[in-house]
Amino acid sequence: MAIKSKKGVFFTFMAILVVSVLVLAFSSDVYVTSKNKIPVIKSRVKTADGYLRNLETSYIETSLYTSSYNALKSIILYEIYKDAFLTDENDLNSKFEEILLNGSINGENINTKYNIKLMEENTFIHRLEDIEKMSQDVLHITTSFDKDNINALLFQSNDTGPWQVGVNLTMNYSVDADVAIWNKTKTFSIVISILGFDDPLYLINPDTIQYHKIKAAIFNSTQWNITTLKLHVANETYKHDENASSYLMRLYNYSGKSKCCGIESFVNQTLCDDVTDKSYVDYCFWSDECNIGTDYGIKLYNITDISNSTYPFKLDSYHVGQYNVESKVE
Amino acid sequence: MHKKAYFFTLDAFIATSIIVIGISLILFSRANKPYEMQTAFLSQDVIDTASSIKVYEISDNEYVNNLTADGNITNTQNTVLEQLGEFCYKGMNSTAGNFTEVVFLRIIPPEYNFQLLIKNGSNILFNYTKGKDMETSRVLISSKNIIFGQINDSTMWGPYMSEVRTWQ
Repeated sequence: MAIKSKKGVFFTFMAILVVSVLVLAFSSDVYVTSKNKIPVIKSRVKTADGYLRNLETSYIETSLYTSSYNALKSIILYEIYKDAFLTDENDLNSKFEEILLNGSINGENINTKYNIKLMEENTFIHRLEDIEKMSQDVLHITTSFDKDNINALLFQSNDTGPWQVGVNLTMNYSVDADVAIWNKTKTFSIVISILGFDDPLYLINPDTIQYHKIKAAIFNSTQWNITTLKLHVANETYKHDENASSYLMRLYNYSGKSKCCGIESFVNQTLCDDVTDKSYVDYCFWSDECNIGTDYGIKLYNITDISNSTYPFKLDSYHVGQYNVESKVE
Repeated sequence: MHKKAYFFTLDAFIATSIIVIGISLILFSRANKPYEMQTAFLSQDVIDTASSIKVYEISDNEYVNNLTADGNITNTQNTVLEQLGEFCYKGMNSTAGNFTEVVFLRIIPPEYNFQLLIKNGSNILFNYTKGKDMETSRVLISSKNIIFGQINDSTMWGPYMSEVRTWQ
C-alpha cells in the first residue's frame, strides 16, 4: 500500500492539531456560555427582587388603601340603603371584609343589589388579579396570591387614634421568577382618615338623613369654655373623649366607651326636636348611656348663652365639667 | 505515489489557515457586541431612570413648572413614568407627549432612536416615537416595567405596562 511509505508523524501531528483546535473551540464555548449566563441570572434576580419590593411596599398597600376606603364608604351607603345600623362588631368586620375582597354582601354584588358602585373594578381581589396578569405579561414573573385565605380586620386603637381607622390584611403569596422563588405570608397595614366621613348616628337616628361630616375641633383640652363650646356647637365639630363611642362603634350603634378613640359632637337645633330629658352630646342623645342616674350624673343642666326656648340645649354633669362651662340647674 | 513531505505540510498549513480564518470571523462578529450592549443598556437605563426620578427633581424645567402651577401635575412625588401613566389615565395624551419630549430627550443621546409605549393589556394608551426605521433596524432593544398610581383616596390607576424601545 502507498500509505505505508508516508511518514506517520505528519498524520499524527495533523490529528493532534485538529483535535486540539476542536477541544479548545468547544471548551471555549462552554466557558463563554456559562460566563454569559451569570449576568443574565443576576439581572433576572435583580428584576424579580425589585418587582417584589415594589409589590409589597407600594402596589399592595395602595390597592389596600383605595379598596378599604371605598369599602368603608360602601358600608355607610349600605346603612343608608337599609336605613339601619349593622348589628355588632363581628357584623361590621365580616361585611367590611366581603365588600373589600369581593364587592358583595352575603354573596350578592352591592352594585346590582344596592346600587353601590364604589367597588366596581376596585375590589382588592380585582387588584391582585390585575398584578398577577401584568407581572406575567411584562416581566414573565409568576405571582400567585392565595385569594381564598385572606383575612382583613378593621380596627381603631392607640396607634390609629380617634381620627383614623386601621385595616390589617394577612395573606399568603408567592413570586416565581424561574431562577428564584419567594413564598411569603405577610400582614399589610394601612390607616384611613375618617375626617370627611359621614357620622352614622346622624344618618340613621333622625327621621331624615343628616350628612354630618366628621370634623375635628381645633381646640385642645385646656381651651374649653363657653366661647369655644359655642363655636364647637355652631361648627358641628367633634372632640375626642374617652367616654364617647368611636367611629367604628357608631357604625353598629354601640354607645359604649372607647378610651383611645371616642368622639362626640352636639345635636344641633334642627335635630333636637325640643327634647329636654337628654344630654345633647350625640351618643347620649340617641341612647340611654348618659341618662340621669348613670355615671354621667344625676341632673341635666341648661348652659348659659347656649340654651334657650328654641334650642333647649342640655348637658350632663360629666360634660359640664369636661367643657368647663357654667350651668344653671333645670 | 511517493509524495513529498512539503505536500502534507502545505496541506496542514491550508487546513490550519481555514480554521484560523473561521475562528477570526466568529470573533470578529462577536466584536460587534458592545454596539448591541450599549443599546440594551440605554433602553434599561432610560426605563430605570424614568422609574426613579421624581417630578419635583426636574422642577428646573419651565414646562414642568407650568404643569404644576396649572394643577395638571398634582403630586410632584410621582416618578416620571407614574406621571405619564396618570396623564394617560386622565386622557391627557397631548400633555403626556410634550412631557415626554421635555424630559426624555434630555437623557437620550441624539444618535439613538427611541419609542415609549404605555399599554393597558393590549390597548396602547400612549405612543411616543422619536426617529424612524424601527422595523429595519439591526438592533432594537426593549425594556419594560409595571407602573401604577393613586389619584386620590378612592381612585387608583393601573397597573399599566411601560415599554422603552431604543435602536440605532
